[in-house]
Amino acid sequence: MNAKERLLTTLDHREPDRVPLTANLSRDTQMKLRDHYGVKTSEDLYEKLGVESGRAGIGIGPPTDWKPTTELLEFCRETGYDAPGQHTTYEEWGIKRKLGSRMPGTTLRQFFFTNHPWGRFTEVSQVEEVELPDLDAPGRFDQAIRAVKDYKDTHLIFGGLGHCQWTKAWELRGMMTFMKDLHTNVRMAAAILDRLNDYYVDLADRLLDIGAEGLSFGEDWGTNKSMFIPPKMWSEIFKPRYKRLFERAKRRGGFVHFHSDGNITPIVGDLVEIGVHILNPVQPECMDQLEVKKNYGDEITIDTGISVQKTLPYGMVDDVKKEALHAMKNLAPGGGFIYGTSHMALYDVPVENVVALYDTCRKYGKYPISIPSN
Amino acid sequence: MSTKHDLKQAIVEMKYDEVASLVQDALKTGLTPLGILENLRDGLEIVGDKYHNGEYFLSELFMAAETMKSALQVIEPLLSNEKGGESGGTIVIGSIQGDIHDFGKTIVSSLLTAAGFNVVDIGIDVPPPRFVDEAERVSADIIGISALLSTTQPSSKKVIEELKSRGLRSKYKVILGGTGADPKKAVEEFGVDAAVFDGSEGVRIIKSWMEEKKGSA
Repeated sequence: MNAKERLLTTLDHREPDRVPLTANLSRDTQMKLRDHYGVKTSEDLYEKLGVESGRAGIGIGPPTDWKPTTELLEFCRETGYDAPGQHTTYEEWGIKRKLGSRMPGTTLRQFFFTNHPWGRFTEVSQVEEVELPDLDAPGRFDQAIRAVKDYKDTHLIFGGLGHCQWTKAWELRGMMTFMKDLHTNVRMAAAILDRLNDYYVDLADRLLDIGAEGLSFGEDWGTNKSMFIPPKMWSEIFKPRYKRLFERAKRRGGFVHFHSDGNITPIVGDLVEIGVHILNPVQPECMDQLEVKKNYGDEITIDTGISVQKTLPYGMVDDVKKEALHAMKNLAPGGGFIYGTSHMALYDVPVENVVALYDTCRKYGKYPISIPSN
Repeated sequence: MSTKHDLKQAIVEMKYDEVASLVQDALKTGLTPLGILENLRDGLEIVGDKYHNGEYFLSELFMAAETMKSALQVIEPLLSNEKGGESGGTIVIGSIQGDIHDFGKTIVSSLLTAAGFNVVDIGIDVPPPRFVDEAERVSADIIGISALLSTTQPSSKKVIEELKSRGLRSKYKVILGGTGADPKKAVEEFGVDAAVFDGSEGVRIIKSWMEEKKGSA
């Protein structure tokens, strides 16, 4: 069973040979782990850890004639992201950012927003008339086409829509301004979301045409306590728009992968209803994963991992093993389960904790699941 | 004509576009600026409770604070000479160095402003000594540190060390806010006076500190 077959089996809610494992490791954490295992590449590291997600992402790329500026290349070196991806997510939309401080212990810096280009709009017509990145620009999908060719036999290919409604709206408009729109200027909020919705429907279709077997969405809807906006508002304003996007994949038999950090318990049922197949990360610090498994485990795959806010950085090796075993015992049976880190393991994570996590998963993640009682 | 109940409800129901005229109406009926302020603050208390209990969500907390700020623009100029209309205290607030998260801090700043505090927002990615410099410069009562990451929360300890090195630790109460904050651990390991991950809870603690301070003055 290769990684793609393993993934497809668990997505079909059957038990594969073992739980598919993923990893989201910051560059610093990766370097420490490579030293620990004496390997030189990420591929070799993932092989040591047993990480083989079985999926690959494709997305919009920059036009052929695009060349990154020296500033963008420097920015990307400092943040650890790739320049084409950053260009098409931010710079091309006019969203401006700056680097944060360099902190001891890490090679990476964070960024923050300094300009939200749609923040100055006062009329709906401005939203309707603003120029968006041209999907017809030559070369836009060259990299995606190559990736499908290279990976389709071994990986399930997801077309990445990423920030496409809520997150893109506040990146363009400003978080506070867009939140105020939702409460006091719904016409403006709707115009922004509709403009984005049409654009991303078009992008989704193109990625599916190229060969994507599913679509992935990255929209953070929750804080650790609860959702950013009332669930009723979410259902009225966002649910129908997501449904339209999800249907682009579903009508072709494709999968829908939805990522949202935070406690999104109130909308899990809605997400399932409109077609989410894979929910990530069902954040372990603030959501009842067992309840999600009990209520929706037959319909969705829980794509989760160990707590990166508490257990992985602060816990002892035994705490890591205990949490991983608990997940394997309660969430893995019957399939519909993917495990790893629930989000990025930052530079403060002890190497021994990551090693313990994947040792435990490799040993006890084999089907049929059998966990020692003590 | 606005009644006390209307004013309170304007905050609870986030009547952002209407609150200024409601306050004007209330003034015309003879309600004092301070009386109006008290009713508005009652509304904000209710919103804080509703958020704390899970009935309200973050955007509602933000909109209630914005509604309150809109009302304050009308009555603040009239309050300066009234007893009880003075600032609830001064707080210096910022996201610690290495942390670029702005949203939580901005919401708490709005809530504190709406609750009558003088808020000095020193931004994001702020080096620890600057919290102390600014607190001294504006004669603050409280220092608020926002840190959302496990990697940045420990830097709150540097603010405490800076206060100690300048002999100022007992002068300021220090509160740490952030989604991932483990309150017990933060108080024990970093030496802050309180740690929260719920903004409305933070405002409640800050208010209780100021009441204590005023009571002992």
